[in-house]
Amino acid sequence: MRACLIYTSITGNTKAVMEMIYDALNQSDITPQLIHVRDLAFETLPSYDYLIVGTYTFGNGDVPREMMPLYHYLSQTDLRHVRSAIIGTGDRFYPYFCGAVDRFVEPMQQQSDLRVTLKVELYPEQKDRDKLPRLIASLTK
Amino acid sequence: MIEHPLKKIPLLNPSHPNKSTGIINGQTSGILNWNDLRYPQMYDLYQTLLSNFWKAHEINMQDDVKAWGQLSDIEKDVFLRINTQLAALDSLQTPTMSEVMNYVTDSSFKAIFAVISQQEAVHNESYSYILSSLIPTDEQNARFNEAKNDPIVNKRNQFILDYYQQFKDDPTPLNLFKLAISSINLEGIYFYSGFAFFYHLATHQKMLKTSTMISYIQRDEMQHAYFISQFVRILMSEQPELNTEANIQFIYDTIKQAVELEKEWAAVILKDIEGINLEEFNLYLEYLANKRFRQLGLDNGYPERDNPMPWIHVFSDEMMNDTKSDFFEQKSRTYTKVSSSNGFDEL
Repeated sequence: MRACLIYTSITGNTKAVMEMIYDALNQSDITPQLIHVRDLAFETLPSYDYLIVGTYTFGNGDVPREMMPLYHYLSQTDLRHVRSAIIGTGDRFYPYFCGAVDRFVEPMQQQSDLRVTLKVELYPEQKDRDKLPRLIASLTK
Repeated sequence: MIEHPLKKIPLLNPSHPNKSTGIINGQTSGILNWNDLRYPQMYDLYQTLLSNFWKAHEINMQDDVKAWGQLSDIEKDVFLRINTQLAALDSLQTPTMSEVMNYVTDSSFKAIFAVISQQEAVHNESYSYILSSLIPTDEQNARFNEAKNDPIVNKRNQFILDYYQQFKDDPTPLNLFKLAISSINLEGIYFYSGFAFFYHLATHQKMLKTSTMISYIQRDEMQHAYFISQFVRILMSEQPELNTEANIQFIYDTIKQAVELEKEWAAVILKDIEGINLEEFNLYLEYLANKRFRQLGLDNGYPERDNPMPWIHVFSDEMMNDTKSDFFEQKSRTYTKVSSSNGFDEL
């Protein structure tokens, strides 16, 4: 079983969460690949068993510019055989905390087998690490 | 190097590149091309700052003028003290950000410091605008003078002011670093007793126009604190001499000192405000400081904890458009609970 972890990150917060998930998957029988969105070859996505998208949120709960091509691809491509997760980092002081995660829900729920979302405030803390087993359980159950 | 004063660079250096070689002591032509930046993410940040644009006079204070009469004498007094105290803080920021702008050698950072400085000027005006809507001129002036002479306010301002003045007198990279951390304390810690008070009134449907302005101010200040924390991280990686244990300790010590000073101020200003639990607010300040540490790429300085006052946050569009509904209710949002009502698990 193979998992594709696609992310974007400015401050390193989202990258840190995705690396945590990468390490956790490595402990399981899933083989993960961690890819920055700008290095992604879109046509490879249907060949994965799992898809995990990681994004920060910009402005008024918006999807970052560099994630938009992926957003459009996922809206138009049938990946219903792929189990997926959406991961986000953000700040709870904003009204739409991790708004980009919520934006990805609609296309990914329709076009893939969306299992789980995870929202993290800024750089991950212990309470976020503690959620990893549940994240993997939701993906694999 | 880090103790040698920075030089103000000439406006234009045609032989140097447009893309600067460093945020301080760098070579730069002085010409800003947003498509040719050393740190391209600064363009998104600049755009976000601009999209926050607002001005005080867009907000009609009529509702608050009516609501003012319903506040208790204590609430009125606290309202006015916090208002002028925040004005005092923002008054420092406009000239300080301009001061820094003179020494950074990356044109995109100069532009962002200019926008921040402008936004602080708007904040300053909004406090005057709020006061002028509510009380007569002589009382406004008296209140502003009161803020100047309040010993607790002075003590906490002095803690920031000393580092700002040090940079003005001796503009070294080390003093710039200390100024930046102090700016995070001012914008990222010192405002929050005030925010708590105004949002507390909003949860009781009081003075909603004022808290709308406060929400705009918080949104701006959050971007500023985020930018300054990025600025510090870039500064420390470009100037490895700044990346010392002593300076990391300086960050922990000064942010914790700012938290203590904020607790002291809250204990005075919020003590008679029913509905704000001071013990809870102290924990809130530690949660807040932890966020600042993590934004700076450091570990939490206080024990990890959940946000005990989740109602202190920027208003959503729904809240702005429909201030009569229950959006302002003081209730814990359910984000800590796991739900799977949508067909997937939300962790």
